[in-house]
Amino acid sequence: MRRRTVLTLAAGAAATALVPVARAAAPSDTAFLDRLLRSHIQPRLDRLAAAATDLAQRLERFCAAPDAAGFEAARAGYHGAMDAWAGAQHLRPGPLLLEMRGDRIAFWPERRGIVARQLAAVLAARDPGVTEPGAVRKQSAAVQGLTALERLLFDDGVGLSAFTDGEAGRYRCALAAAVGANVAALAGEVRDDWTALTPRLLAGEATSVGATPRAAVENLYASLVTMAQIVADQKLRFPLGDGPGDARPTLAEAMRSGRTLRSIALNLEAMSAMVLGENGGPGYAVLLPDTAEGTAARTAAVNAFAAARAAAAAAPGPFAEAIADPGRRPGVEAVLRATRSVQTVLVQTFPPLIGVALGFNELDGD
Amino acid sequence: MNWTAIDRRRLLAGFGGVLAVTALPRNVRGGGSLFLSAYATAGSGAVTFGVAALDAAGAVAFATPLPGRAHAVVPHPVRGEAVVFGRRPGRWFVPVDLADGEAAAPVAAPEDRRFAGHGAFSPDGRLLYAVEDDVPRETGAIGVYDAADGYRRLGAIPTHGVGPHDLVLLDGGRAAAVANGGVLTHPDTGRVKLNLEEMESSLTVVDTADGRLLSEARLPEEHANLGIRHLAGRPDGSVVFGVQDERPTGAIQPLVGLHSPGGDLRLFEAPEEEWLRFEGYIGSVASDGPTVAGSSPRGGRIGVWDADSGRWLGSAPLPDGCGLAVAGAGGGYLATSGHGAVAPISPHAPDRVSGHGAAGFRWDNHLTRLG
Repeated sequence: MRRRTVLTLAAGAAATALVPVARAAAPSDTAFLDRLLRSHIQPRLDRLAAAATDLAQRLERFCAAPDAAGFEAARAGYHGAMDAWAGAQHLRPGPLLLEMRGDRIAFWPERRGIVARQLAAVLAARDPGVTEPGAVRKQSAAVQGLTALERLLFDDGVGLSAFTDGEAGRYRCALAAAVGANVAALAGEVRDDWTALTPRLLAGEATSVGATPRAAVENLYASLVTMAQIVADQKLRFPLGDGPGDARPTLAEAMRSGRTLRSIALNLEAMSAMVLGENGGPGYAVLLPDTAEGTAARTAAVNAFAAARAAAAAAPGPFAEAIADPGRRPGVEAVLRATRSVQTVLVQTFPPLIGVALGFNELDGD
Repeated sequence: MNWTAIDRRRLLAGFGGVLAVTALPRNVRGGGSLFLSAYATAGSGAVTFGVAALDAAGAVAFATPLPGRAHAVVPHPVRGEAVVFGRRPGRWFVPVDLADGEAAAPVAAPEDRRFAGHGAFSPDGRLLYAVEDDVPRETGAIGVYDAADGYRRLGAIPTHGVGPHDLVLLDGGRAAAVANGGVLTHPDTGRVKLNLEEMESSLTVVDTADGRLLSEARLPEEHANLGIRHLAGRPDGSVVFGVQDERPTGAIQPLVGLHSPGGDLRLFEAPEEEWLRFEGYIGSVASDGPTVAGSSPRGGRIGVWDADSGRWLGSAPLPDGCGLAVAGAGGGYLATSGHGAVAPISPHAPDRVSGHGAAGFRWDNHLTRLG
């Protein structure tokens, strides 16, 4: 079967005839993508690949001679990989979406309890084949990535002894190391796929990121919108529930390692960088027109992201307790409100000004 | 809000084919059918959601606000009324009076159910079938409502699949064909897809009297990543289906096909560059009899096939185009888009699209013809 990504398309020019969008005077799509790739996308994917490799190495060293220092180093490696994941998670189109790589790197949100159930089954069976190099990638996505690793390293009652006591301890450690190696392999594939597709993308060819450079610009923008929705709904609204008594901490991301809010803050930072630019490169704001309206939109984005990041930094933790505590909960609700303001800027303010036709029907998967 | 008012008589005429109001001229102003669609408002203000009646030129007869974003609209076959389903995970459906667009009180889903967004009336109009998720059992169901008694819930029958979405009635209402997308969701996590690896999509045919499974069809293993999501019935009892790629592999795959009354699934053919344009996503299907159309809002294309041979007839460009209905008795299609476009599509020259805009509206996924 041929791959969707290898065909070159003559883009249907007529396809834009019915889109009510005025293009701004802005850099060409390929020039924008070129600079965005170098300043934002590639550095963040490099960081993810490096952090995942570091995690894998820490786990391998730990399991070779488990001790308290190695355990702490492994946990720190998990946090490093999660930090990098939160900083790249918004780059959804293309390599991360293909072959469910995003889900395999971090299986969240999960079907209730499935990661725990599947991990328990693997740990009980102690099949040495599962911890062989490359074998984890053939297992269920639920046990392949960082969500499973968090369970292995941070689950209730887990300490150093969980990795040292007998056969069960040795197997748990070997499984953790195998999962770490799998995350490193996946992150490397994502980075390498992007590297490989970049020349074709910049030559105007069809890639998994988009059928044309224009489609790539739009798909990457749409993924920012999706990411804002993930933060607002999946990471905040669902666990918050309707009130302190309705809070559902088990729905929170990375609750066991206590880094729910940290990941949210890094998601917001990454989205902000893709809109406002970083490392001397452009964000989507450079596509705004040089008019009063364009300037106002840029200011709105600067303010909305600053407020959301400040709210996330100020929110009292730990998240799972704070959302059920009437005293601390308002601080978390403030993050949700501020993220909603970011969504408004991304969904309503920017699209008509930057010439991105944000679909209404295409986003919802119905 | 700004839209063109159109003659109320014409609206009545739209479903006059069945109603006693056929005394009213059916083709006032040379117009034809009227159509129903869920919408979101466009523009700088706060977005609101509702259901509207419009004609093929994009003129809006009424626009009625709803409690939230809606999905499919199902006209009652006898009364001047339609039911609008909330978007999944849906907690309500709303009966709307077609004479003036006035909405009745929403009918709430049972606590352990969520509506999937589609449904159908029995041909005599007595029963409403609402596709739904049975949340605790993680399985698909069809809620049955008494349309003659204020939409009192009578019970439910199983769809024999997971993640059902669309339904069409067959055999005079004695059976229902159901698109079980195969993807499990849960109200706690909204629309998050929870079982992509194990997803098993199917097209089942269920006896509407007792819920018995009459037939079940699945796509071949090589297409296990495709979820059957949308259906359109044809006069010979066959059912057009459109799929969505839930687990992208990068492969080019067919996305539209036909379910024969015997239960076989046949996938249609199209040039690879055309399938490529569909971005693995069909949002709506329709059939005017001789031909079949499928829309891809992600790809901004609407494909058209010959129904009997499955031969590719061409495609129409329509950015974010999803709503798709048979245009009228003479066949052809009317398509709508999330950018407010309303565009007739000729099956014989689909690439020539000229549409009308409806300022202020973003048309949601589905368009339904009245009468």
